[in-house]
Amino acid sequence: MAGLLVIHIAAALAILWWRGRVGRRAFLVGSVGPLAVLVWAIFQASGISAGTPYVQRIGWVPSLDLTFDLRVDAYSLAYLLVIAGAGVAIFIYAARYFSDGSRVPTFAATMTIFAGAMVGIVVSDHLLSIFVFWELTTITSYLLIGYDDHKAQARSAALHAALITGAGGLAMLGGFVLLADAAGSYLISDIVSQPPAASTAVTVAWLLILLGAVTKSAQFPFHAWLPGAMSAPTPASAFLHSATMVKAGIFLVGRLGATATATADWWQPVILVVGFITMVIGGWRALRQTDLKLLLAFGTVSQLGFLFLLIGSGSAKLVFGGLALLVAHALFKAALFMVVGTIDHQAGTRDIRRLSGLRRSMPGTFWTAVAAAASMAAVPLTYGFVAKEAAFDGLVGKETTMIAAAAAASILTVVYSARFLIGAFGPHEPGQEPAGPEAPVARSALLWSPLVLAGAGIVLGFAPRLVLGLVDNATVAVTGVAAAGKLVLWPGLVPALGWSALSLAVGAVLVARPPRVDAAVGAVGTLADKLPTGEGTYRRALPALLTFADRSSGILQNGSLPAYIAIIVLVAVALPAAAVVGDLPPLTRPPGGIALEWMLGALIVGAAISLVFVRRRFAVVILLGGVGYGIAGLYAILGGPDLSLTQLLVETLAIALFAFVLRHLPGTFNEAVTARIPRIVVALTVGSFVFAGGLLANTFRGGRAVADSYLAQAVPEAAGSNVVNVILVDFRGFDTLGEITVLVAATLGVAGLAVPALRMLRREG
Amino acid sequence: MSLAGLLIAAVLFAVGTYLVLQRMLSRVIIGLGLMSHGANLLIMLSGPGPAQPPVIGADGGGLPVADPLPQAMVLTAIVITFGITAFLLALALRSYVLTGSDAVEDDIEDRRISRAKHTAEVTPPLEVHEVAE
Amino acid sequence: MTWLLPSVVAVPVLGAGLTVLIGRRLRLQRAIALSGVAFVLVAAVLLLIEADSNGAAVAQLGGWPAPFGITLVADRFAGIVLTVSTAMLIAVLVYAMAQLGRDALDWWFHTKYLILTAGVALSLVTGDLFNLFVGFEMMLIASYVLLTVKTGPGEVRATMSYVVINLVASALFLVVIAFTYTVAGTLNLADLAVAFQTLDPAVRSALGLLTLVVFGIKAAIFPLFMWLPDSYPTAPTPVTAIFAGLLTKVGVFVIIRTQTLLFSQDEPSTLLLFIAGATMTVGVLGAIAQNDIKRILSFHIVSQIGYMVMGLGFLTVAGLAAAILYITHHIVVKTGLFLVGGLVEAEEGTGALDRIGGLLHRRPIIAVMFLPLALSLAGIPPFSGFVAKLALLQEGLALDRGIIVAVSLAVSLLTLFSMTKIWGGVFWGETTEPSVPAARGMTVATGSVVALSLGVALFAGPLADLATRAAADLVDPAVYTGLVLGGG
Repeated sequence: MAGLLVIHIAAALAILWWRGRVGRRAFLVGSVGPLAVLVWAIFQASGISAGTPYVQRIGWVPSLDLTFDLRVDAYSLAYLLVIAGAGVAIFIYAARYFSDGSRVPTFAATMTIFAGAMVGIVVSDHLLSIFVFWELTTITSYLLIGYDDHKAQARSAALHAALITGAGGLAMLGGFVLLADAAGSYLISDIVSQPPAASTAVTVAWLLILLGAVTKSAQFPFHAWLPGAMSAPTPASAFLHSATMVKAGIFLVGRLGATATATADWWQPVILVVGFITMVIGGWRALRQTDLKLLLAFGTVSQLGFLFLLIGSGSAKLVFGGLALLVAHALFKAALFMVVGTIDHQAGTRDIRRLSGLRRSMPGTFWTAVAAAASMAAVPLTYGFVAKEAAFDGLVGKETTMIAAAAAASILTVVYSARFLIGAFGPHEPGQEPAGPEAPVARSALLWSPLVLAGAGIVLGFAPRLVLGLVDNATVAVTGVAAAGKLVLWPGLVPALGWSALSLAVGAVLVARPPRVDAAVGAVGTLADKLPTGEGTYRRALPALLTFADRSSGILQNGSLPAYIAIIVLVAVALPAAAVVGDLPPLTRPPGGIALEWMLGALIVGAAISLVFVRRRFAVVILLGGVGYGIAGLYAILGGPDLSLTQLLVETLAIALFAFVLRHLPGTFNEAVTARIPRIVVALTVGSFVFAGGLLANTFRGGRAVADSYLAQAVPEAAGSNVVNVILVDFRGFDTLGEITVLVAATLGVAGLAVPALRMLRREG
Repeated sequence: MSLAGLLIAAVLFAVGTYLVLQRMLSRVIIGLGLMSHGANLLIMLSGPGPAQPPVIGADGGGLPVADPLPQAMVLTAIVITFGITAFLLALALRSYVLTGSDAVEDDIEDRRISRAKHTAEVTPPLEVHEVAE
Repeated sequence: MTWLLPSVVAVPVLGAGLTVLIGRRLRLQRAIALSGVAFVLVAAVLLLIEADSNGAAVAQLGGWPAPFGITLVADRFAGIVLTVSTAMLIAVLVYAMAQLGRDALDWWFHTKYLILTAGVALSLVTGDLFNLFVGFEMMLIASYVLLTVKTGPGEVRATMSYVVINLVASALFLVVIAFTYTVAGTLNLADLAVAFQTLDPAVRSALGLLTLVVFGIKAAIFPLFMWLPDSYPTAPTPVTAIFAGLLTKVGVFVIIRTQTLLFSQDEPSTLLLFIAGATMTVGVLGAIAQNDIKRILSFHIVSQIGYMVMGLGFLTVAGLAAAILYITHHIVVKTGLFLVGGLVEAEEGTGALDRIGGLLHRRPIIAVMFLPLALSLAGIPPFSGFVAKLALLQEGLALDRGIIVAVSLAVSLLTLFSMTKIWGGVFWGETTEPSVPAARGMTVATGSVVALSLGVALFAGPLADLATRAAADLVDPAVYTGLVLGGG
């Protein structure tokens, strides 16, 4: 199994490696991946269907419980067959759809990686490995949607899809970890067999996981990214945005639906409501499209809603119907997308209002479309009808509102299916410039893939047994019970048939009167547009986020050095102060100090404070000297004659340097200080902090064992009587090494800056 | 530690902070110098106060022997601070030569962003052709 | 193996000295610089192996037992960070040689670079508070002079802010040293850990927070980060890349070291988590507001620091292990991203997103290198950032720290958004004028960093185990004090 994933990666790498030569044949190379999966799945089918899942584990980060646990049961198998089957057809189609171009191989490689990731999702038993593949599909989807990257609209659609599904994915990750925490395992098979006890954490986990599924499968209110994703080249739309990726969310809710229903009683109602709203909104909006591809996209939204509620419900009969419909949907929708691709390819447009005469010029494509659309509309004698029957059958006996809503959506499906056919192959609208095929005959190469898929939709209608076992076993795999559902061409006079007939009949009536439908759609449409769609929210939220980012950074990151420093020193004061405030122990007062200290202190303090006020450079130099030499004096008192001398020396050097630089700087040492008061407050705060901190440290003065042992060891151990020197060159020689290094680096820096600066000054005279 | 020493250190920090909070680089450099004087002094104040030098065999007249370690630290710190101050002075010189000013200017890009008005960078919505009414 | 420990500092210092002595012989300078850094890498690996088998390599310099001399300690934590850091130092050095190759203006680049290497190494392995100050200053002075490799007005302005802020931080560091020495009478970190056990809790806590602020400035945590995005982007790419990858992480390293070793009893956990959340949020918002690759990436440095602080804030083995993993991943990925940014700049002559476009089609290799790094930064699997973030996420939820986990996930999304902004601006869009391809060495160096980041992801399993062992040492200060002071 893992080998199949490796094949995808290898195929993608091979394409990239030979990208200069491979051209559009890249897709044929890429098709090796889905093909291998298909063959594998067919060979494993009997064993897996018999109830022995295929299991494999690959370690990654065991300490984080991060492994790839693959487990292919009948449920996975159903998805695998859909992904691989649609994949092979679409890859072969794409190899003819594109013309050789430099961007094509990259696109093909990305799509191959995507195919592998998609396989990864459905064969993973480990929640985290699902997430890994899940995000991989998000990223590849982003790259594929943005294929026409010179178009701003493609870029923005790619971003929209990535952000929405990315956000859902991250929420889902949180949910996964919470769920695994509660259940004690990341393995779905464990979680399903031993569900976690209900708790707040588990509720939150389900919600977050649901969020991931809802965004990925384009459910209301997050569905708006999917129509946008139609910016992708048609093969990608057919593969990602109808047959596979958008099914990932459905796959997930199907996997966990039964367990979620058992541990959270809100799960099923929420799934049902979300699914129904999506279904109706999608169907409704499909009626209003003039772009064939967008029409299909909204149709997909609608179908996804239906699949979502059926498969996510956790109830065996609904899951059964849902899975049957899942297969049907993959067949007809992928076929229809490819039909649109062919039309676009041949006629140069997908606009219903302009397409004309294609029925005669592209008969093969026309009949393919008829077969697929019939299956979509659930016309009897198609597999779409068989599957829809099974779905209705599951809904019968539930609340009537639910089945009525499903019927309403079915009516919409009939109408938009007809709209698709008539729009694509009927005459152009009056007043529009007609667009006929530019190439006179449809290239047969573009015909085969959709024809095979659409044909399968008819053949399976007559031989539903071919999928019955698959769907049945898959249902058992996730719900634990057999649905006892039927997949038959003629169900007998059951209520479900009534609902199907009703949907078809009403749909047919509406189709027969297109002007009135359009008028009604237009009238209700304005009303419906006022409903929140999620799309509007996204389009408002993104600029709002950007503005917020600008504002907040503008305030914090205002570019002013004094402001940065003020914040830093205030935080440095506030945090420690907060720690001691309240339980401040009584402070011991240190000795006042000898008279000489006070005298030097007066000198230093006086000079320092004067530095604030003086304007003349000469005075600055004098005052700096006063401070520095005063401190040198203090050091002498404190028992550091060597230190005092060094201070004198360094201070003299520093002042000389300073005087030299000041000589070149602007004449007055002056500036108009604004906001003097806040600066004084900050300065006083820092001063008081140092003072208080010093008192506090003095109160808790520790012993001087280390110091005394230096004094004791200096002569016998290090053979030196000046202990400070001994420390510098011996005990702590590494400090001195660092100090010298700093001086070397500083010298280099000074040279690098001062030499060119002085040269310029000299030039200016 | 003596009260006098601590007061001096506190004042050096206060005045240093005040100067550092200004825009003229020469004043900022002075401020930094005062702050590091204050910090060095604070390290020295960890010792007992007036003391005799930590030289074995010297006679200090009854004063306690100073702790040699802070002195070693301050010696190192003084030299390091000197090196960096010299670098900063060279930087000030270079800056003046380049810009003709001694002031630390605000970051240009930051100011641009704090003034920026984002016209929505979201590209136009997908063209969804709706049925004409 | 302990004899190797001082050499990770001494060898690059000696190398720096040599480069000064031999003067303007570029080829020789390069050879010295490369072999110096390579030596440190080899030593770092050996030390890490030694640390992982014996707990730590400890060197008492000059043979003076702790706490009298300076102790160098390479425990697992230091070994990991030192190894990754030096690996980046080599890659960036190669990149710099290719980029600055013909730019003979700066003769002393290699000297400064070696001093930076020594400073980083010393800051990581020193076991002494004042020696840490010295190590920081070495690292900083080298960074100051590297920032002014070019001395235009922009560089000078940026360097001024950077130097001034760091000098303020250094003064505060000295205050910490003064207070610490006053209350404890020692500077050796292990000895301090022992001394602090009996210190008044309020005083210790205050000292701990002051220490946090001092190193927080270097690490660029909220609200002390603002200097970073203003100063980093102006430097030449190799300099920015190494600053981005290493310097702030040394700050984080020292924060983790001091907080776990010295102040673990006080557990400012909630404060740290608040800082973590604020740092990641403010950083990513800043990144979103920017319009230049290097500035975007600079703000992400800030944002990512938040994740490391988050791991520290948990104060558990798993939390610290996650932080260590994060640091490891981040050093590689961030360096790599800046190198890619530099490639873009080198080829296009600018990093402004609105002036570049379509690079995907002209230079797919750059896009291929950018993608895994960017996704890794955002925490998208299967790249290294995901593993580190997952570790944080798991521990956060296990500890019921839901808020910070939610914040971190949201910031991940915004990071992804910000990366798509670079992708959309640089690699997609209208193709701009073709320009000069960057030097081959730059691409190769970048590629090797990318490969290393993939390696971090691939070997995340053993790395996570190593990080867990390192974290276990950190959680129990007695391990460190036992290793340094002997006995236990």
